Amino acid sequence: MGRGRRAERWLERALAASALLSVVVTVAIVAALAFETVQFFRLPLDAANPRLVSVRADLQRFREARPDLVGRPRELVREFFTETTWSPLYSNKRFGVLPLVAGTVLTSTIALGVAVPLGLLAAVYLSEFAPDSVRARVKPALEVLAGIPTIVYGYFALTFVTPFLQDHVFGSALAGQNALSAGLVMGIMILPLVSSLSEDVMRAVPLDLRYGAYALGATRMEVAVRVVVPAALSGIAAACVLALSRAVGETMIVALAAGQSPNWTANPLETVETITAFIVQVSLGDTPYGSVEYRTLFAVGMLLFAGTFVMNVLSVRVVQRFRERYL
Amino acid sequence: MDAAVEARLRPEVVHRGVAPGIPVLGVEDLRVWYGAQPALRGVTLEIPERRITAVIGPSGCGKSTLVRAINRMNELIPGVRTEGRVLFRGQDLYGPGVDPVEVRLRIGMVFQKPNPFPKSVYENVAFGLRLHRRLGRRELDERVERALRQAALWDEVKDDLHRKSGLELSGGQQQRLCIARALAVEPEVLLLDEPCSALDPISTARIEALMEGLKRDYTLVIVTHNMQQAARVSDFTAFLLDGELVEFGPTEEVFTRPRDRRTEDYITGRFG
Ligand SMILES: Nc1ncnc2c1ncn2[C@@H]1O[C@H](COP(=O)(O)OP(=O)(O)OP(=O)(O)O)[C@@H](O)[C@H]1O
Ligand SMILES: [Mg+2]
Repeated sequence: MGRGRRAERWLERALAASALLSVVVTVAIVAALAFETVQFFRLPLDAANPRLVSVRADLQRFREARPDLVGRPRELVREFFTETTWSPLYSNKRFGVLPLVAGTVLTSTIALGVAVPLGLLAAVYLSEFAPDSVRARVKPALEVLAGIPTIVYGYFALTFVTPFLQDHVFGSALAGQNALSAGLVMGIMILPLVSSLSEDVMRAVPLDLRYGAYALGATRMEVAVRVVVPAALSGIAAACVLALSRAVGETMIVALAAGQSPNWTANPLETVETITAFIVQVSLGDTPYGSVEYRTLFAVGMLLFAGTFVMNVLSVRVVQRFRERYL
Repeated sequence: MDAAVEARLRPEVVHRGVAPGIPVLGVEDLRVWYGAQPALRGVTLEIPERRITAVIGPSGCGKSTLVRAINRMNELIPGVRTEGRVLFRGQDLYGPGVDPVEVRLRIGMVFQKPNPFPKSVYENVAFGLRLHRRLGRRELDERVERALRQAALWDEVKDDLHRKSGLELSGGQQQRLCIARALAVEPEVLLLDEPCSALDPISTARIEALMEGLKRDYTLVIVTHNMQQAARVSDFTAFLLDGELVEFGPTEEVFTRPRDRRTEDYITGRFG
């Protein structure tokens, strides 16, 4: 008995340790991100320090490009959040991050515009209308979509969707790299995330509830729309937020198909750059540790992290307000 | 409700005017199978207008199958096959062109396990009304209140109709909510499948009293395992055994002078 007890205690400690480890790793990542982000906003101070500037070519370039910022970190903060030109990689350095945000919002919105309606329709069909034999085949087939490497999607958007849209719909108004194609293809990629998770929660709605509605003279469609979907709403919303997070964080498709030129626009036909595409762009070049370009990476990375985090928190709040609990 | 459908389904006779006791539902040689397994083997009986008919019998004898066949809920279960007729005011509910949705609208149902929707009390009761008619706010409010009063639930929920979820009520209140929800669409027949089996004696007594009152306007069919309950509330009793109707008649006769030996064994508890 003593041995069993001891083994159990060790097991318990091992479990606690692994739980702790994941917390520690998360905290470490956030801390590193935050530290480097501070380094970005400290650039004007470093550029004002003669000893540093004398040994660092990139700080010299920064000084030359933006004498107005030297010694004024608050001015950099203001520029970062409110200006609409992003060109840290060029000699004329501007640090307004809004074009990257716009690119991200634009492509993600298009993706959600595809994935949420189609995914919900697919989920309602699979859960409430499809015979078992159909569901057994369609569901795995849909899930395959999520397993395709994103680079393949990226090339598909770039070499098939864009030329197709240029030839048949928009003509030359559509840029070779554009938010629309990238968003559409990204929507297809995240569609199974919406449909599969939504279908799972909809099927989990108790049969009793459906029978209750049928007994009141509801049709199949009315049961689906007025009973099943509302009862599964929290799960459906969670699926959509997950899909949104995937879209915002998606990199390969937008880097290939949406482009790499920051563009403060809401026009989906134009070339745009997302936050993730910018990160790829900088990471692919050889960026020395601690350089200006290097520091911008972390600043936009932090922005991405903060954005998805706030979205998740907000959605949890919203869902809690509107959900129908049946258990 | 669609006017053409209404005309087809509602006969000339205004049902509230028909004398109580006259058959409103005629079940004729009803046979139901789940897959290959028979559950009803030819049941024939007539259910009288504005009376309470109890359906009794041991577990698995087909009571639920019978009531679900009456409002065509059975066909929602995959693999069910039904033969025979169910005449509702002379019309075969299984005839060609009859829409099961309309059938369920006129023949309501309350289930064994209370199953309120995870919506507010108000929305539960308004659910059926919203499906079938466009009603103004005032009229909807009135009908919801009336249904809740009929189900003897109004006083307990009137203060937070919109705030309280149907699921936040007690089991007995939930079942009365389900009754109110069914009554709100004004069916002519109400089927109750063991409505009290999940309830305590006080809630059960309330529902029994409620049924007594509903009898003035509705035809009620209640499935029950409880012999005292059948004897207390019902006017007629049907005894089912293994998918067959063994005995059907006025409750008093069935309980005091059963014609069939098996009925006597069952109601006196000598039956497995
Ligand atoms: N969904 C179903 N699928 C397959 N067989 C079923 C189904 N529902 C009922 N049956 C079978 O049909 C027969 C009659 O069942 P039914 O539910 O009508 O009995 P019941 O008299 O209501 O029993 P209880 O008193 O336990 O509720 C039983 O043998 C049962 O196993
Ligand atoms: Mg039953």
